[in-house]
Amino acid sequence: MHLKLYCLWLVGVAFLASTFAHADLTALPLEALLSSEVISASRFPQQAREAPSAVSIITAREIREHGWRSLAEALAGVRGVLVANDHAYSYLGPRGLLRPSDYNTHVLIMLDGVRLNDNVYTQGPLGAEFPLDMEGVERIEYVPGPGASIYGNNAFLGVVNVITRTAAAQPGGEAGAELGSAGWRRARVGMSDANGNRDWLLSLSHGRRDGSSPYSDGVVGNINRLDGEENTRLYARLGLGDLKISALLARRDKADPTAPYDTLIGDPRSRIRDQHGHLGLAWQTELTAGMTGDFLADYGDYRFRGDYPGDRTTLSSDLKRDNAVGRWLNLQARLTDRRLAGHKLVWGAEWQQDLERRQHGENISTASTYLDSNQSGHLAGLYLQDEWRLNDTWLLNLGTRYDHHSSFGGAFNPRLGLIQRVTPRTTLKYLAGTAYRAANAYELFYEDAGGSQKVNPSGLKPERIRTLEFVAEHETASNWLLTGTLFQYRIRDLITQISDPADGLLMFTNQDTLQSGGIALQAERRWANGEHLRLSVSRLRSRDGQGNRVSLSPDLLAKASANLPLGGWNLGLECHYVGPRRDSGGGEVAGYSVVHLNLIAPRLADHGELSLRIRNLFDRRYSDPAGDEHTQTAITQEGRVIEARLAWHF
Amino acid sequence: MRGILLAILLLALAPPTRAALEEYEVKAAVIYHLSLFAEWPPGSPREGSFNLCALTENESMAEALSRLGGKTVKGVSLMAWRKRPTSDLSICQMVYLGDMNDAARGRVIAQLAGQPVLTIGNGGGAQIPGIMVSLGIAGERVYFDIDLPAVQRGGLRLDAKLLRLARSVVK
Repeated sequence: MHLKLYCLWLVGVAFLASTFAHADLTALPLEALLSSEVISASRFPQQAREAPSAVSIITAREIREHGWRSLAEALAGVRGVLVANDHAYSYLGPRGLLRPSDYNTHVLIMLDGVRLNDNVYTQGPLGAEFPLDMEGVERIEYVPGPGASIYGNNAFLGVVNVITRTAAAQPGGEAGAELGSAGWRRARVGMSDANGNRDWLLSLSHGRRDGSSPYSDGVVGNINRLDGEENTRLYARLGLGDLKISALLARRDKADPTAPYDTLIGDPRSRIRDQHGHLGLAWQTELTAGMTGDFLADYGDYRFRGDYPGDRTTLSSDLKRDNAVGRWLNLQARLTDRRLAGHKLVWGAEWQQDLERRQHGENISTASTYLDSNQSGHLAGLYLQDEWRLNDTWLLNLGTRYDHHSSFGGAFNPRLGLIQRVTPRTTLKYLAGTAYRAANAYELFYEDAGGSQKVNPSGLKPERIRTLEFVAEHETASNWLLTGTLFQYRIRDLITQISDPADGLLMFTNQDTLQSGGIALQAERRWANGEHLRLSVSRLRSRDGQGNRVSLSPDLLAKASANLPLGGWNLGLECHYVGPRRDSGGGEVAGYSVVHLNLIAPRLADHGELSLRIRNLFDRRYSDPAGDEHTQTAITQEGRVIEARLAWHF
Repeated sequence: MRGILLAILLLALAPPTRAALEEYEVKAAVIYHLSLFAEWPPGSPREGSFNLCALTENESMAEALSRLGGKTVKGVSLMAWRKRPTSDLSICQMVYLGDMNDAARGRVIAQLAGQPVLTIGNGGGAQIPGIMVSLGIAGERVYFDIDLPAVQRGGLRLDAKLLRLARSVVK
């Protein structure tokens, strides 16, 4: 009801506003134009200004300044973002909202517009399992809030789109080597060239760490060198005029020291492996003046292998192995039409067909299979968005998308945004929207033959969210960009694992509701000589249906980051504070602050760049609340990590 | 929460004040005037239509130029295209090259050299070699510089009014 009133109000204001005329500068004589005072372009990325969201953009420059090596590290500095880790994966909590055992299914992660969330778990890769090297990233667009009106499934709490570098941006070759704590070593080569209307680029890297020692937390005890990791990434792209062909293959192997799912403590067989493969075609063309067409075809291939040694409850030492294989075909078409004065219309369609969606479980020790499921599905989505410039002040953004999933039927998700340019330096945004998340194959079909988990016989509905947001952005005359955000989320039908009293087996059901709201404030300035300062604080409140704080979600987040050029050297500094959180056992995990540093030395012989990065500079001991799969209530995080990197351009 | 929202919404309804104009809007309007005061040789690309092609990674500038679409130039309706460095530019009478990689821009300029295509750059004060008209900002005013030899190599003629209003003209 509240949402409907708000929407009515927005539309009313929009129509009132549209009665004012739109000024046409081309009608002014040239002399007048040249003598008019203008507001020069902002130092901050421009496309963010008119977006119907509180978008944050992380540029290649910031990635270099801070030495970020994963999407998780880069996003941890964004206002309101919570990043947690359990030594298996990194997890993203947009606006501080994160539930335990949420495998990034409430965020959509894209690479150049291609969905990276797989088709089995619909998990977004965020940490070391993200399949592209950060050196190949041009920018990261992070949009908190629902994005289902354009992107459909999983765009529930936020959307992350990673844009790759073009070949023309860095022609030539680059080689890099890294060495660091816990036996970290990594090598990378990248090459690219552009010639006429052809360009290509190639990037290959391999990294490995033996593991830190000791890893410890209350229940598990001290375990040495059991969080080793190895990853390999290959990315290649060929551009032929308007057509781009890309191929990606990345594999990450990680030892898990946390003994999840009652497995044996300190058993080195405990490992997970994620492999992402994509083969894509992208064609962008101007169909006629003012009308652009974007067409994407993507073949996705995801493989997971999880080894779970033994069982603490039955004292068995058998090795159980979960395998997942997902293969799918995704087609997208989008038309952007600017021909109608004052309107930017975007029409789009998406179709995805699962070729394989297999979950397989076997006991390696006894050579018996406890799970073999391959339930494929498909989805079709249609969307329309209009950016309607009512006059110089008001921009109305209306969007809606309809999705049809073979698993549950249809979902209809509208979005309404009203953007007010109060002055050329001040923008206000009033936003309302909805989103959904369909149950994934794990929630729908995972069972282990009466062991611990069964399928819900009545199926699962999608989760739903309704949101209201207000965003204010102001750029001061001294080039400070001030941003304020207010938001309110209402979530229902959350998919939660419960124990069936009839047989004691776990199963997923649509049960919980959740309410979340808060305010975030940020001040940011970049000086002409490269100095950069950003400060943000977020006050948040998340409560589940019983009125309890949501585990993992803090009430307070504060961030500071600075970049200081120091006579040829460059120092990047970050400090993140995360407030106290409730752990899964009902206790409290203390708040923490952690400082990261990256120092870049002056260029060597004009081709080389040497840098030193220290994560967790003060070796602070802190923990993230654990998920349901863990016996311990909190997971100890990594101490100080020191790494040196040498990059050579040729 | 609702109280705060309402208060902000009421504040937002206060009438906006504006004195200065938006940089991109002014630059786009200047580019429109360039099309009015330039002359193309007979038989230049596709007579009977007028195509402005924008090559830029700056979304605001691209949007401002796309809004010129439908305006009248030389008795025909202007078509505003968004192109990329690898696109075919043979239909364009005017090409805007701004905020793009130097190497890519160099290749486009080389491709258009000697063609009857008015090339416009966003120099930000410094002239870019091979670009005919270069836009910039100084003292909160938009200006443009003209490279006359480049204009003449393309067989184009610029009205005396443009030469008079230019900040500088290379002869």
